[in-house]
Amino acid sequence: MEFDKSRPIYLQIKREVKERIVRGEIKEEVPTVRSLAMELGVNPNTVAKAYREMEREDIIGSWVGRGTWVKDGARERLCPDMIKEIVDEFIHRLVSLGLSLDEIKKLVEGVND
Amino acid sequence: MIEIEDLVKRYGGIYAVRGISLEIEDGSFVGLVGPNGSGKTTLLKLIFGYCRPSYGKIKINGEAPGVRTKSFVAFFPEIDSLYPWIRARGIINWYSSFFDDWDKEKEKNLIQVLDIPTSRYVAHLSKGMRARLKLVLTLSRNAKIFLLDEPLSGIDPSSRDMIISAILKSYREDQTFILSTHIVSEAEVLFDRTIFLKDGSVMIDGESDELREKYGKSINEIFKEKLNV
Repeated sequence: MEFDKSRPIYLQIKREVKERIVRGEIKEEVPTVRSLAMELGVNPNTVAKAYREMEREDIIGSWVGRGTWVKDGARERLCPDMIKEIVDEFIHRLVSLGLSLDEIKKLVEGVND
Repeated sequence: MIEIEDLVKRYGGIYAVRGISLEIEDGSFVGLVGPNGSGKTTLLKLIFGYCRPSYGKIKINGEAPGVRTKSFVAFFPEIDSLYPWIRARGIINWYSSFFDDWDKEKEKNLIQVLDIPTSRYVAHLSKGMRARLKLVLTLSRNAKIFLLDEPLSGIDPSSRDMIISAILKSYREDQTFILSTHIVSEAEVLFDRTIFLKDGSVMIDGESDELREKYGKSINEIFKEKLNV
């Protein structure tokens, strides 16, 4: 994955892990801080920070000696948030191009398959 | 922990470091960035104990830099002082004999990751290969603190990628790394803290992600912008 280096890296890692949970690529056990850091080519401290925040958000939980796991119901809770985030971003970008909400609605309705 | 207080280094009438105070926690990976002549090398040399401060203090785990601290501080010098008439293997063996914390396993991995042709004479190694060999000599130790002075400068892009990946792989969260560079773009994802030096002083110092948030820019872009001020 390529990072946008003009935005905090740990936020992008959080989003990546959440997307993997929603897509079902991470089902139960979350990769260790070290292995994800090596995979993404970033400092392990940055991954650790992303994990700490996700623990506070009750998405993942870690138990000493037993690794890090996805919390029960986390995927179901994440889905609506993620959809809202994508829709907000989509609308925001079109509005910034000068489109009105009505025009955006018409565009969406006009999309076939 | 490294504690630096009002550090000044003067060479004759020229100030290389003018009044730096810093605390570096164990386990941080610090990017020391700044243009040539900003005092990066001098600061690293002072921490290692190659030279003494003109004023001010440095404490590494409570001790002034010296023989004792050198037993757990590893230094990667920018200057290439490898003997050309020895094979790479010979340099590694010779160098390893000086250190109690030399780790044969790390050495083996690094030789592989950094693709070192160990049977070649140093004279027949490219500049990039020599830099990679020097990195084996530095990172094979189980030191607590690693000071890497410009490991990325003047090196071809493929060697640079190998070096960044080897540094990342060898970094453990209980070790402290300070890496100086004026090539920020490829290396910035390694730094959890970035210190910008200019004219021997600290211009910006912060957690890398907080700096990205604050400026809305990459560390590399902030660096370039500040250089032109």
